[in-house]
Amino acid sequence: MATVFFLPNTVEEACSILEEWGDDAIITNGGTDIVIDISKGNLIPHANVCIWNINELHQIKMDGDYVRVGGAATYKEMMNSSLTKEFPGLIEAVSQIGSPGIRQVATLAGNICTAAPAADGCTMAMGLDAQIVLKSATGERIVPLSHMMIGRGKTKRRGNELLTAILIPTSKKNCAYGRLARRRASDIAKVMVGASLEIEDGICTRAVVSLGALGPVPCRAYSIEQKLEGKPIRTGIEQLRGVFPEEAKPRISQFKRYKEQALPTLLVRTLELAAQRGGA
Amino acid sequence: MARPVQFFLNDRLETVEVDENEILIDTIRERFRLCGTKEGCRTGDCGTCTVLLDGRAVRSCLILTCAVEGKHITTIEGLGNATNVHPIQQAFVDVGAVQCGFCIPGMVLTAKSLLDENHHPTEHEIRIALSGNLCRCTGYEKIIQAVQLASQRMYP
Repeated sequence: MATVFFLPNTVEEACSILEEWGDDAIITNGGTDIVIDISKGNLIPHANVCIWNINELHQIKMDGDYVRVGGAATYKEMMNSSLTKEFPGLIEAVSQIGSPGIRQVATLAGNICTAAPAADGCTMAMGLDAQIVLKSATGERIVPLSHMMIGRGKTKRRGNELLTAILIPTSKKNCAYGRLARRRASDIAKVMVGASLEIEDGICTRAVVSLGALGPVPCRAYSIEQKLEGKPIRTGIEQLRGVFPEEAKPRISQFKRYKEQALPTLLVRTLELAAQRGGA
Repeated sequence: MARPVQFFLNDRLETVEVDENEILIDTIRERFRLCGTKEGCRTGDCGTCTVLLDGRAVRSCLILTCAVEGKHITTIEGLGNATNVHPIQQAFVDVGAVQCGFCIPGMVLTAKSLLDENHHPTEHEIRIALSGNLCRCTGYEKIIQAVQLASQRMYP
């Protein structure tokens, strides 16, 4: 079977190709994950829509109360953008992904659509309560990132849809990211925590906490968020010492015990850093 | 099925017919016989297959050849050769940064991408820039010294 390769220059062009090919098409950009499957012969797509030439999707710009990260913006572009740099946790997360050669081409949109268990960018974006814009030839819809991934490798994106943007609320700038890995580069972290805190007069009014590498896909730790909201942030964090979030479900592996022991500490450290950035 | 692709390889416009699922490293090594680009892991981890894509260091094992239509690819052969040695290559030689040599094309091209963007990187910045290029011989110290020397010579 042969693959039909498309290299569209506009969103409209890409959407019309996806309308025609639907689930038979894969979308590629940096290719840092999916091209390995292709080159090994494990994946032979009917159609491949490579979106890296769509200039408008590389843009990172303001959009009302959100920073809009285009669906083809690379991690390198995010690390260089003055808008995304205002989210210190996001920069902490994306600047530790893979290596510079990977970050040069890899994208947050790809990280989300791949729906891998241990995705740094995706985990932090979930901790910022990011919203995902999915566009098709017939319309556009917005899905919260927290609901986007439904299982390993599975998302709510329909075959005819293109992820055109990730919307990051500007209210989430007090954020931090924690990860534990064995090496400082080219490693997949064993435990990941993303957190953003909204603090007024020392009281936590809104907390968003996400976990990565602790289930089939990154997830929200709603139980932790509830324990923080409405309390003085310092008290809230103190109460969490030693607490293992019920949403974390590390699978049976050689790292399970390590993850169970390390997660509560990493969670508290990440929250403390976010609180410190929020002036508390 | 084969698809014609046109791109600049070491500043020369080339046209080649490739399978839609062929990766750039195979095109470079097997169709153009430019074997300075080394094949290591084929999974994006080791950095030996590094080339410059529009001036930026990327892994040629993670890029489909069809995707580079119209773009500029530079391999180590395009940077310098025995009679026209690039200052970064000369610095690697002078410092003694080369042992088995397998990682060196990727190291040199990654250093080129770094120095184009940042003429005077700190040691820390050099270590980060090279963090995706594995070397099993040198322990990296002399490679880092070579990049520092190249920076001093190219941008005094």
